[in-house]
Amino acid sequence: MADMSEQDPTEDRSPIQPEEAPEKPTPDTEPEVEHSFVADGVNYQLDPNWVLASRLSGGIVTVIISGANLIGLLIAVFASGWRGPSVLLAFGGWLLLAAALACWTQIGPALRYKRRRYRLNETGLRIRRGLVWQAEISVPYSRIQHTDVSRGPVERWFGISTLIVHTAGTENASVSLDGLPAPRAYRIRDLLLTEVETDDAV
Amino acid sequence: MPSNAVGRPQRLHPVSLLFALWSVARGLLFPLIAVLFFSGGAYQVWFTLFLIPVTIAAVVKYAFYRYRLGDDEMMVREGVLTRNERHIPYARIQNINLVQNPFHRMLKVAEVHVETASGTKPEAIIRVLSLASIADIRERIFRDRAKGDDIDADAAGGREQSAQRLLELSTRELILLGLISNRGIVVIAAVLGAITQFDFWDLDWERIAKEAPHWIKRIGLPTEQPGLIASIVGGITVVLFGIVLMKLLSIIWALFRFHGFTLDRGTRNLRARYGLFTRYTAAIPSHRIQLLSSRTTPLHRLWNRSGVLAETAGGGSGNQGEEQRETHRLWLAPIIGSGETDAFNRAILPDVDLRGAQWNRLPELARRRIRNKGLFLSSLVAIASVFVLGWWALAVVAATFAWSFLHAAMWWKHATWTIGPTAMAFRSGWWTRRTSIVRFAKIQTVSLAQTPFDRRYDMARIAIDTAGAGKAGHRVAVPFLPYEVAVELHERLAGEAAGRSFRW
Repeated sequence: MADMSEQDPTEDRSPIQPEEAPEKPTPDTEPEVEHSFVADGVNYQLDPNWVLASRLSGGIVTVIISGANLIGLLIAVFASGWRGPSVLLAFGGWLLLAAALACWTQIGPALRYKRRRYRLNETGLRIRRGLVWQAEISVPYSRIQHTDVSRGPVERWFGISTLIVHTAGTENASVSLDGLPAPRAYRIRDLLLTEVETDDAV
Repeated sequence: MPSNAVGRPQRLHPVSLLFALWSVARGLLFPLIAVLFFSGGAYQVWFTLFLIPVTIAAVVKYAFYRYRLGDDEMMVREGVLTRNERHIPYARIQNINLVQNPFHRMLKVAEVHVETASGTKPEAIIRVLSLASIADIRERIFRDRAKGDDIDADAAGGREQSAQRLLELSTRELILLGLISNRGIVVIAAVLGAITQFDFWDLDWERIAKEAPHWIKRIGLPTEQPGLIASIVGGITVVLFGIVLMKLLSIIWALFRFHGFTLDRGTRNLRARYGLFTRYTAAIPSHRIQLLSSRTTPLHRLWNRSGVLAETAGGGSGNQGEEQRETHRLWLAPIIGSGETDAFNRAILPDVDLRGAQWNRLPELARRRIRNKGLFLSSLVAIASVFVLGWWALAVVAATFAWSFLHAAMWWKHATWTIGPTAMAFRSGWWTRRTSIVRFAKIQTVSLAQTPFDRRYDMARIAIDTAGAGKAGHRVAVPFLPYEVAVELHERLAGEAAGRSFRW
């Protein structure tokens, strides 16, 4: 949480880039207003909780993998009767691996959070992602076949959701955007439902 | 049109039974022969018992198979215990393809493949129907579409009045196609496969090795060890013989496969017909073409020819079968004169005209980046080969370094892209050169990607994703673009795509 202290955690919608922040009315109930609010062409960051959720699930994965490695290593050491510096070396290697994994899963999310943006305007959805291999992908509304909103246990705990957009494409047959505040994910889904063309004529 | 006239479920053509029995028999033919010839006793008698259930199954399947042409959908019902009823709305039907082998043609029937956009295999395969019923189906299905459509009544060889012939391949062209293609390899592989099937490894190899010199002597060949020159000459002869054989087989393949190839254009559909023994009739609605790609190899260029193929959508309609998306790639022009390709492409995609288009080359930096990548990989190979080859590794280094320079220079020289008012095209490759055209209306997503190297040189890659894009196929994905150009292209493509609605 420390590395994004410039954002106000009490704000109920997702923090936006300060330089582009428009003064919008707070969430309301009329669908039309909601849509114009969602598809406002502003680059949004994810829900800051996404960092915590990613760290938690990354941490769980780290513990499981490192734990399994450690158990395997202990069994190997006791079964083979190794003694001396090679054992130390093996444990050193394990420690290094575990530390690397921990670093990656604990620091990575914050870096990715800083980098990732999503934007909805009148024509489509655009997502920017990636740290080393960076990419920006545009999905026009008219190409969206259907959308899913999925929430895993960790995501539910932190009140965030993943929006998955399916297109008829091949390489980008589905584009997912995780770390959306749950109500916002549903609002975007509703927007996409109305935007997606319903005619199936050929 | 009144609906009750057509609402009646209909059966297959009675000869279907014959073909069903034949396909059953064909499946059992080899085991049957094996049993009859290689085992004595009463096995044969018992073996024929296997035929009874499959025959009954074929008869029952025929007896219970029905199809019905409704007002706006077609229904296919099959099965006895588990009844399967499939409703296919006409609007979803993409193609009605016919497959006719010589027996089909003799009996004036055909297999009907009803294709929708929903995946790899045809939605329904109706085997077999009389040509008259097929004409009924076509009339029914395509009735609501544009009037004067070129869905012809006589599919087996009739001619359409409104159709415009786009391409017709003469025997000479087919022979050229065979010379250019390497399809013969497939035939050779198939022959080898068949040989191994016939207990190739169970032959008495020891005996053959022992007696081989005798046979060779009888033919008159020398049996003593040949000298170096002789073995080089022999090797070259064998290789040449292999190439000639392969090319001959390719020619035969081309003659059979594309015999009488014609491509016609109606008001909405393209219709391709080809095949000597098994005749294919494929109707391709031209608006379903997702990507048009032409390709030339050095052999193509030697004879001033090229080939044009189309990718049509095979993607799922959304809800199911993401994993079973597949490309339908088909040759619109297996071979065509290089000078005619542009006009041909315009005839296929009338809304795309790239005649006045300005083809942009990639920045010179691209050549250096490709070269450096090649040199880097070459160095890795060289280091690895030192351990294996010793001093010979120097030769490897020389060859791979030379290759890196050549490849980078040639690739850079031939890679160009252009963007018109309705489409974008990308041309790449130098040994095999490919040009692909994507219409804005067929764009699914646009992405701009940067590797760390791209960022260092302020470059980016723009890729267009389309429905039914094959993994191996050429795509409109332009690397090494200057970053500002890439950003501009990204905005333009995303905007153009959003402004057009996508229809399968």
